[in-house]
Amino acid sequence: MQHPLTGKALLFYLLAWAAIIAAHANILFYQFGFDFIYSATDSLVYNISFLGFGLLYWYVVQYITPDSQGITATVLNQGLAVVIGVSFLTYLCNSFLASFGVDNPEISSFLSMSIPWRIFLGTFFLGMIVLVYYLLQYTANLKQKEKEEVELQHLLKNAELETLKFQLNPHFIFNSLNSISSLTLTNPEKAHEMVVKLSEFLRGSLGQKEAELHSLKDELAQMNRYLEIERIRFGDRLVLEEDINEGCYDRLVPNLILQPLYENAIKYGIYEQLESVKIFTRTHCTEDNLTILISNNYDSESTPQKGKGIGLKNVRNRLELIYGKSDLVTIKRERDNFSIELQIPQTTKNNDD
Amino acid sequence: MIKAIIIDDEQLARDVIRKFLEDFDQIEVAAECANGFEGIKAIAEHQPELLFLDVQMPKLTGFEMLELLDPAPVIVFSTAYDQYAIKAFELSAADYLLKPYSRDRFKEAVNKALDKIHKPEENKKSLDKLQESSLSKEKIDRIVIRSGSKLTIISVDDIDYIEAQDDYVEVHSAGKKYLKQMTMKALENSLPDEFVRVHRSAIIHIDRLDKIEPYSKDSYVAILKSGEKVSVSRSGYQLLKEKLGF
Repeated sequence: MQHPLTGKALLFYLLAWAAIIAAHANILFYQFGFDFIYSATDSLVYNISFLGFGLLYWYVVQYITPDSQGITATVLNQGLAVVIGVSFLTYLCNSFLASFGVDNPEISSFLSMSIPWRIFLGTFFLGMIVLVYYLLQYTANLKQKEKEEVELQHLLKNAELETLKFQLNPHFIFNSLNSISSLTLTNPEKAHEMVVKLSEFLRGSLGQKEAELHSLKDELAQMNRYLEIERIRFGDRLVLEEDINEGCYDRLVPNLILQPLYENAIKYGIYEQLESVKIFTRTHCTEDNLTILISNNYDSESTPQKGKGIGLKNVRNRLELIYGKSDLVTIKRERDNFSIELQIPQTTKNNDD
Repeated sequence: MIKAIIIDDEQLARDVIRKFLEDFDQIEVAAECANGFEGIKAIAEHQPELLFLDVQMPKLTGFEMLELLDPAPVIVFSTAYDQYAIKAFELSAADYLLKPYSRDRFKEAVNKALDKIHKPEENKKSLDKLQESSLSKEKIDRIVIRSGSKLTIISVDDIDYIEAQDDYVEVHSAGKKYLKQMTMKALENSLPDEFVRVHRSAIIHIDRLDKIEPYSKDSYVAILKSGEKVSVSRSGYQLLKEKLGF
């Protein structure tokens, strides 16, 4: 986050200090009866040091946050840091001002007598500044969170729309219907089977409620319906292989997150090569993580028609927004093998809150 | 007997056409092909009068295939995409079937095709415009070049520059040259924005440009990253200026 004291805020900050400087000098001049030069110098040296220190302190606030350390630790750490900082600054200022007191015992005794007051006042000023900083940081974080929330909602909507678009996708639905129409002429039994599969798939996709997560088992079942329809269409040209760890079945994944990956594998595998394409799925899980790998062979020599690249980008964005990490998708493009690996964290949101 | 060839990458889609063609005694299916490459070979071998052609196929789309056929047979497109229809008719396709289609609709398409086959002059006339219009409307991703029986597919990203050679264009890519029968004008319109026509006889890929040097009073020479030199006319220089903002 940028330093909050810029522009108008900075002006306000400086004005406040100007008032303090004036008050400080006045008190020394009228109440304590020091001469004008000493009063002004004392006030300027002391308060300008704190003005600068206050500005710099923002960078300390950035590193000691309630989010990273908890509230108690933050208060203790900051309290200690402020007192030490203020004491050190007071010591420096007093050493400097002591040169005025070399042949003026009044100033010397005033300086040593006023140390507790100076530390108290400095701590008060800096404490106020730190408080303001935290307040600003908190508001900014809140705004950021709100923004992310809105964006997540937006992406969810988009994902739903994409799903809907996919269901009506001409190259899938119409080609499937054409396959069925063909089978009714040559193999009614198989046509029947395909109608059932297509219906199951559509029901599964349309039936997705807004619930963002569901089990890996449900996700794979839905993907299997899709892949089986494609297998009827493409016959031997589509080969499916899998290494699914059944122990991972109850792990949670965002729904239909695998859809774009399989669609991609078919698009760049089958649509751009003459040989058959083998799509391989592997899942692996630990206590707090689920890894899903989907790979397919492809013809690296081919000149694919450009896709819009929306599918994979959506997957990346969705995972980043749900889990708050940007490194969950790994894409590997080898000579004749394309693979994509998803890391799905298994810490549920409820535990975080 | 009229010879027909079915080209579609899905067996089930080919099955429908073959089955529906049983209604036409005068048409025989000479071959079935699962992709454009097989299609080109089969057409050379059988010289069919009628083609049933899918658009979306591996490596070579139906449209790209059509560019390579001279003369082209009468064509009935079949595809699941409706957005290709306009282009198909531009290419003077006899008909455009949207998958899935009924037996009646198929009959109608074949009857239109038979009409065309029986009036070959008319068909030939529209075919002359074919190559030109096929690439004029939308931006292309790749160029298909045929030399003899060998097909080369070049991604537009890999093209360095293009020069006019009489009725042909010469495509330069990675130090190699390929000849394709087409006009500069047609190609210019269908290439993406990274291509600039710097001269009546030259189009360059702007990413491959290294520098521009004056050549004579009114002309310049573009030096590509590969070291190759392409002459630039005054108007070409203006275009480059606009594009690159210098």
